Amino acid sequence: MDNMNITSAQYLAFEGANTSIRATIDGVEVYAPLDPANRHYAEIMRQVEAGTLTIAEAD
Amino acid sequence: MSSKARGLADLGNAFDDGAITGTNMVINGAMQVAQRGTSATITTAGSSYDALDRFESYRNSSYAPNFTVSQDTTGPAGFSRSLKIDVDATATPTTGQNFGVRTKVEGFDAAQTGLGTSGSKQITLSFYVKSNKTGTYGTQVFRHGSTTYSTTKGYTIDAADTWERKEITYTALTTANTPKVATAWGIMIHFELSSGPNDIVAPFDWAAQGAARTVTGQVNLMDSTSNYWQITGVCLNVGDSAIDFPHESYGETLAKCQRYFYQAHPQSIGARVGSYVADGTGNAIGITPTTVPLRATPTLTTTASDWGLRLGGTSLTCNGFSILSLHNGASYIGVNAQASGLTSTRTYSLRSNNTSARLQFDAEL
Repeated sequence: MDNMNITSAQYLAFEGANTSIRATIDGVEVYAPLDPANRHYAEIMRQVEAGTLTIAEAD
Repeated sequence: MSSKARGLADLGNAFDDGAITGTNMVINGAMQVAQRGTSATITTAGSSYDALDRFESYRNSSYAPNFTVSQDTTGPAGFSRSLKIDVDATATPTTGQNFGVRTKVEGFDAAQTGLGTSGSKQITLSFYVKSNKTGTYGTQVFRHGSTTYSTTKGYTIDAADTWERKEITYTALTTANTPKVATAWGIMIHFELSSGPNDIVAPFDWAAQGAARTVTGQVNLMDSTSNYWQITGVCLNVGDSAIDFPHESYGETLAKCQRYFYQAHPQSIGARVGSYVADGTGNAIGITPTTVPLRATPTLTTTASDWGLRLGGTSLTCNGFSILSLHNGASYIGVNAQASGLTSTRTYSLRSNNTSARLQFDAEL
């Protein structure tokens, strides 16, 4: 239902595990948690499943 | 029958009809709380919470109307604030483009309606609205579930520049759609302001329709830079008639809003907003307290360089953040603040470098 323009996404890791995603959504850099109840994470994953977005691995 | 007895009888009938049951499911309907700021200028497509808490502006299908959304300091009698949309540039939506204002009700709170079950009740939306542009406007109410259903009804602004109260009752939705009754959004109310021709259709009762639609005759608010639209006193209750708007204290409304959005914004230089312990030379882990438990793990929005990790009079400018965890039911969030040159195991203060520094935690629906 949301309508987000996501132009970049990259996992952030701590202690060897991914903890969140740094993404640019509607021109703003945000840090989204890996929580399906979070609307940004849900939309990121929806776009990944749709094949319109790729999440880069953590540095 | 005496007038007093008649009054009591009428009250009983109204209660039986469900006319005065329930409470207002809309949070911040009086437009009192604007944590993000009192005004924002929008020029892009997308969905965004810009000014008033819990109220989102929605622009789909690459539609990028130019407008300002603000917390206006006027309202009808009994209301000191309203949400105002001012048109900054004219726009004509095409095909399935839409622009509107919407608010969502959490599933826990929407469950009382029974919408999407055999026990569904009617619901009534009421609000005060004002615009220079008279004519027909659409509303659309969605019920989120395994299949999202929606219904549309219109209202008319009869007189320009005049507060008018509107009440709209929607039929029950008895079709089972496994409705969301927990922390996901349950009901969404959409006020349409500008729609492409494909989405302007005759009003309909509940149908399997999860996309934006509006009613025949919908005006285009975006057709003049003189146009504005204001709304306040938004209330959604169970029943076939509207309840009086249940005013509440600013503090109550603020606390409700902070379940969905919270920010640390000290508005000063040098303010400390938490203690962070360095874990290695590039990460410092801290806890940020919130006033109430958030609905879900939030998204963090901030500008890293607005913050520093300070110890012994020396600040190391932050170069990144991440969310670590939400402790379910607790009023704090684990945050990783990053900077170069930290000394492991030392405790630093997270300190604002300027007056615009803010940590925004978004757990909106």
